[in-house]
Amino acid sequence: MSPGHFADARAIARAVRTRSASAVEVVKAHLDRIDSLNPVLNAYTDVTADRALAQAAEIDARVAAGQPVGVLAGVPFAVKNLFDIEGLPTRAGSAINRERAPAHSDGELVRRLLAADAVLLGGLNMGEYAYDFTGENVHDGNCANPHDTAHMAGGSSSGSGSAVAAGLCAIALGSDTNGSIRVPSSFNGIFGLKPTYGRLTRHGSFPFVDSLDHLGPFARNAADLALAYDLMQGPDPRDGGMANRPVEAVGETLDKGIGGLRVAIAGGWFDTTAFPDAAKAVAMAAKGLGAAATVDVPGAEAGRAAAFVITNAESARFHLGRLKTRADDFDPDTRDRFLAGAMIPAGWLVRAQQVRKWYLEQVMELFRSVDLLIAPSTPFTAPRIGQKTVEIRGEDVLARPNIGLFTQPVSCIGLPVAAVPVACGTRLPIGVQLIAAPWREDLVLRAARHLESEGIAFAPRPAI
Amino acid sequence: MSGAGFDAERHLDAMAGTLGLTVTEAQREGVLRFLSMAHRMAEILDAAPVPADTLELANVYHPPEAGA
Repeated sequence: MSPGHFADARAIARAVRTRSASAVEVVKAHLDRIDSLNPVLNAYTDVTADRALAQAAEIDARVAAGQPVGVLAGVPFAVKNLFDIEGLPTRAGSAINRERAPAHSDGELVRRLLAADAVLLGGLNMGEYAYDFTGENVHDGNCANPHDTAHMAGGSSSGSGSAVAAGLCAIALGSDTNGSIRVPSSFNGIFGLKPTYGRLTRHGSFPFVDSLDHLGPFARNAADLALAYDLMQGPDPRDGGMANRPVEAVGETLDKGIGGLRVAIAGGWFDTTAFPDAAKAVAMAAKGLGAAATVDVPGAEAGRAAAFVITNAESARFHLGRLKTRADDFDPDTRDRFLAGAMIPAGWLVRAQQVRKWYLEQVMELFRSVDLLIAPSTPFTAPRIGQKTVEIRGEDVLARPNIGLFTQPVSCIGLPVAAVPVACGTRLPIGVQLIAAPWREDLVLRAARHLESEGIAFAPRPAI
Repeated sequence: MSGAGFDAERHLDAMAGTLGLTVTEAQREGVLRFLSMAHRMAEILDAAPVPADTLELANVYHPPEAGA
């Protein structure tokens, strides 16, 4: 009997290994749920059913023959459609990329999960070329939030957030340049990990901003998140941004608790006075982690500005040829941003990279006295789909560039973050960022696990 | 410096020609809005108290090891 759509990845793999469920049963149950819910959620853009069933049957055959299977045996996963999937054009949320030749192999992180016998169910919706925080996409249709389908899933890894929250897969992969893992994690009420910049290889994924692109996993609990992360670590010389560190597994320390950790609330730029739902989430997380002090994060506003300019300039140059010849084939919501980015003076970009370096030094100084920072993931719960502006500290501003105002300063300097859903009584989910110094993914995941064990962090099951 | 007298309209017209970009009337309003937003970000960057006469950039080049 299949363990159910909301079973954790480890329970699914255990059921498959012990033959209390077959991988084929698990995959079929998920494919049925995708058939039923995807017309409403629009989380998947490609369902690779034949491939998934063939892989599941092969895993079952190995189990039946007494041969070894991987730690994610039969666990259904799916990936943002900027990851290469063999046989599909890597669309990256665009119409233009559909004209590309099909990928000749899977992206490297996809391969690493497949090597653990996780089963790939398909590609997931996203904002065009990842320039998005809303989950809206004019080509593939908007991705909906399973907790209220009139509301945004968040972006740009919209399908990853929606699919995991709705039980359409147990684990998803996404990318995060300015918040695209952390925003959907918050809006959909799930766990996400944006590792340190340079930790996980980006080989076999479609780029957005080389200076800032990160890849990472989503799950419905901290242990699954840690497991997927550990399986994807390791060097890859094909990604020039990789630090090529050895595997530093976090699974064994996940339950170590938070004893001895110096935890503080991020203030200043991250102040939640004007955002009552975010304030509740931060207060709950702070209570659970024993954080009393609020510390300023020096340079955060400038860091956010640096991320904005670097993103705008790098991504626009990357797409310049397409902007010259076929601008109207872009989603209008990204097109005008890219066109503006193409015109940014070189001096603004140089200054952004200078400020980024200076800002990193300020934050590293802060980490001499603090091990972990708590900040909101989003200023509010998911806005309604189609809402073009949001209120930020008394000012009506465009939603698309501003939903990530709390995430952008953190990814700007590549810090590891666990995005954690907090049960704080809001109608729709909301989450916090647990932030540590570079390479300390172990700390952010330990803290996430601790909040989960205290009943504070929780992935709510949608009624859909 | 980001330029206190930044004029998004003039900048757009000059840069579009330089880059060979055609910006249609339908696109123009949005592009101007985002150029103005980028300029505000550039002003924030200018104001950051980075020590004078330093030029350390985040995106430095690291040569590979010999034989790599």
